[in-house]
Amino acid sequence: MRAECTVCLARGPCSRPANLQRALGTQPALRPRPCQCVQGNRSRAIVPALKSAVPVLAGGVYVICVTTSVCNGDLAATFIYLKQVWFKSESGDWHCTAGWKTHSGSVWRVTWAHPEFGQVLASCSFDRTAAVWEEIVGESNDKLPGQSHWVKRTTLVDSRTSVTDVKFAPKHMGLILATCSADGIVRIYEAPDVMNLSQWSLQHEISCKLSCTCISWSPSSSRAHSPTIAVGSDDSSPSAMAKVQIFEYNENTRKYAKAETLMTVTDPVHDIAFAPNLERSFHILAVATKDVRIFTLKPMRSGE
Amino acid sequence: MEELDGDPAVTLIPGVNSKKKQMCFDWGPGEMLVCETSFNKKEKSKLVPNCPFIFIIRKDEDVYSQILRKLFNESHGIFVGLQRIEEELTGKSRKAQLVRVSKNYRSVIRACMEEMHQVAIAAKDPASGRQFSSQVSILSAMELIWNLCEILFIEVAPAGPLLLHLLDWVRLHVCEVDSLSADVLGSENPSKHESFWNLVTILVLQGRLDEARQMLSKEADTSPTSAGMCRTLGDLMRTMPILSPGNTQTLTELELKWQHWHEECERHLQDGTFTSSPHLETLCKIMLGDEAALLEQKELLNNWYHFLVTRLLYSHPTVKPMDLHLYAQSSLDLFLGGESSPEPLDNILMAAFEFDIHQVIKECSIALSNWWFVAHLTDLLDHCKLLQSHNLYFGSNMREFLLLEYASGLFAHHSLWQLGVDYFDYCPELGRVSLELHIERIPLNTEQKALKVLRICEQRQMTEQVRSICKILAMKAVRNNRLGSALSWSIRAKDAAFATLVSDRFLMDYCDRGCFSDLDLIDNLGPAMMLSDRLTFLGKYREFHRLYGEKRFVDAASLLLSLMTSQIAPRSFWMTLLTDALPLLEQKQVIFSAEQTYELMRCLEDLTAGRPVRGEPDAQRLQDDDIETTKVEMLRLALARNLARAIIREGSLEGS
Repeated sequence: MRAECTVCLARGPCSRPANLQRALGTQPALRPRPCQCVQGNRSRAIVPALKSAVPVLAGGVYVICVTTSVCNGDLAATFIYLKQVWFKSESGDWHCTAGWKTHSGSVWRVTWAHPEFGQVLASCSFDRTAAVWEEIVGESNDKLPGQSHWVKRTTLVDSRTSVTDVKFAPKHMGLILATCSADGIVRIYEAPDVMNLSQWSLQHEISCKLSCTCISWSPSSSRAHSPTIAVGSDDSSPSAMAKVQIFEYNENTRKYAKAETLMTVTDPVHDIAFAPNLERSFHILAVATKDVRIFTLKPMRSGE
Repeated sequence: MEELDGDPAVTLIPGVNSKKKQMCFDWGPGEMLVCETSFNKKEKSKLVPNCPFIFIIRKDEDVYSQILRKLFNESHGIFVGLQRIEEELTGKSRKAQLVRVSKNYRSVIRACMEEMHQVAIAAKDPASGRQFSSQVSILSAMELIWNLCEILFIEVAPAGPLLLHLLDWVRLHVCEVDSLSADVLGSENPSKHESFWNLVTILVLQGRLDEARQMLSKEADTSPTSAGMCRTLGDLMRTMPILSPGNTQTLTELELKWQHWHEECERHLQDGTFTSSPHLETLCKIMLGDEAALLEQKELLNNWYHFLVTRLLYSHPTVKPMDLHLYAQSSLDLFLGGESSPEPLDNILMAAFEFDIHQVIKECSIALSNWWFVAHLTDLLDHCKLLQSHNLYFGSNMREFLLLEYASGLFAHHSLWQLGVDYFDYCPELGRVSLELHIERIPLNTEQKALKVLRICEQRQMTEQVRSICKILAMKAVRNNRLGSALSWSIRAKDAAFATLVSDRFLMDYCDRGCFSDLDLIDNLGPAMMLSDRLTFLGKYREFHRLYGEKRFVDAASLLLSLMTSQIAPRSFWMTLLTDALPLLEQKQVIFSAEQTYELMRCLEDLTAGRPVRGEPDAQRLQDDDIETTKVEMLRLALARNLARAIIREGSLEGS
């Protein structure tokens, strides 16, 4: 019969108390189990602990997307139609500081800009628009203490179909936003004046020829790498084989040109993300389809 | 890529049926957020979510433990000390120093164990008491492993001293001996105590023969019949040859002597000296290293490594390190007897006996919930030059990988991140770039924390991070209308564009309210003023006001003029400057010279000439225009009068 208790190696119920007679003389065990416990499954190194749960909007609406800010851990979550911003206090509790109705369709994604630009959010929605929001402090007279006030700075209405993803570019490029929509066009906007978020100009339109679902900017700020953006698609038409395309900015033509297509990805792509660069010469890209695949991309040549 | 030994653990989110529903997530600085979703691109889904929560999942709970914090802090000190003395470690003293470092680490673990044990005892509710107890157990296991690694890898004890070290190891970790001994000796009649013979047996098993002999003499006193046998056995115990430190005999001599002694014990057993006392006979058998007799004492031995060491003590005292693993394996098999399979701890110890360092580290990484242990142990072993440059798949060596993982874990904590910085410093390949990424993500909730982070960045010449952090803080300050704070941050960030922006806001404020906020800051700008033209203008303009306040009118006047002529004043501000000149023009004494007055007039004409004629004027605009026209007329008048007086004055001086 298998020994159950690693403290005393007794079979079955243990008569020796598990407390110590002297701390330093304790019976060492790496996974001490109390006696009569059931053999569990083998657990691995870092077992995450469920810390707490934050009650969210009651009323039965789905959260579509959650995202945390880079520098301060603020959380934004989108729901159907609405957006909520949560802020974590020093004690570790979460409070909802703002919730407001935004688009007239489901809000697919929400993303934070780098805090260097202030508290700025961008969202994109089924209603064919993307919007940029900014937090205003101390202007609204009737706001409750602890509540913040978000103002829509601009609406980007160029798309003719649902806008599926919106992402800010790495901060060294300035205040630049990319959106992708179901009509297969990636649009890149720039705000030349970072203090005036109502002025955004459409800088580039990249035609992907496939309905796009997700985009990711390469975070590398090294001079060796020009701005790169990866686009994933879930287009189910038979002519659309390769679902991930990589576009790179060309200094000479001043345009984004297709640098690479990942031929091996043929399933619909749900999400895509570049890994932090860490001064490597190559890029690492993760693609989520039916499973998650990691690609390394070497500039000039590509590999897997 | 090394193969995974098993599937990663799956943590189930309560309330969400993961087979039927989808979940979305995001990583945060310290934790991960997960919630249920329905990502149906075809617009409105009528489904209602079952689970109304967003879950917060924390990766590493240990970081938040109060007691373990001491462990992290103190081991950090030892770690940094070790890196620093690395250059000075040479020759013979090197090994001794490294052993000392190892002992320091171990004492830190033991201190932590002690404290946690106290807390476990004092715990109010049984659940947390159990949790603390299990933590103590884990710490004890870590210390056990570390101690063994110290003996085998760092101390590198040769045959002979090896056994002594192993005996110490066992005595330290496997004992209820002292309390049992206190029990027995404290009783009225020790030798009649029910645990008396257990105690004597344990003492013999641990090689504490002197104490065992004392016990036997007590038995001899109370029980005359066995007195003789006790004395004989006691003599045998006394005469057992053992290598003592400082002893000059060679290993072969020791072996020889031991062989003789062993034969003598054997003879006593054969002669039946102890047959009338089963206890004493058992003891003799143990001292002969009889495996069956030892295995009978499983209960007292408690675990296979105790069995191993006792076995070696009484059958192969001069065991060589290289042969250890053979005895270890057989001891493990014999002890478990096929009834149970080895635990993770057993596997780790076995790997250590086999001198397979990589396996030890690998198994520890799997079994422990926190990178602390493997990171520090690997670093120490690396200093002992024991790790081959074993390049991992992701491009850094094992030591660095473990240190990076550990330090990254520290960054999740709101104050322990400062320790993490030092660990990154000592990772030559990826340390700096990892630090850059992590330090940007520290939430800057208070000014103090921001200053701390900045100091760290500045010490390491991480200029981009300094700039970024200052910019973030400046932006925050501007949005909260704290212009002085914003200005000082943008100066520190050396961000000329932003400084210009903030200066503009200051000037706008002045126009609105007629006075400056944050005068202290502007007055003491010093050389920082040169950062941007607008900022220089702001500083100089404030200086003008100061000069005016001190009634140094001539200086003030020439400063004012230079502000306008040198083009650093924004055109929009010229009117204000000219209006500021009015009181100077109206003074009794002539302040502006004729030259200067001509300059002022030229500026005024420049300003008014540039004003375009607007379209249909409305009431407000008419009013504004009225004010403007009045101002301009007043200025023209004042300038003309001043010119007249200046010409007269200059003319008269020349005349006399």
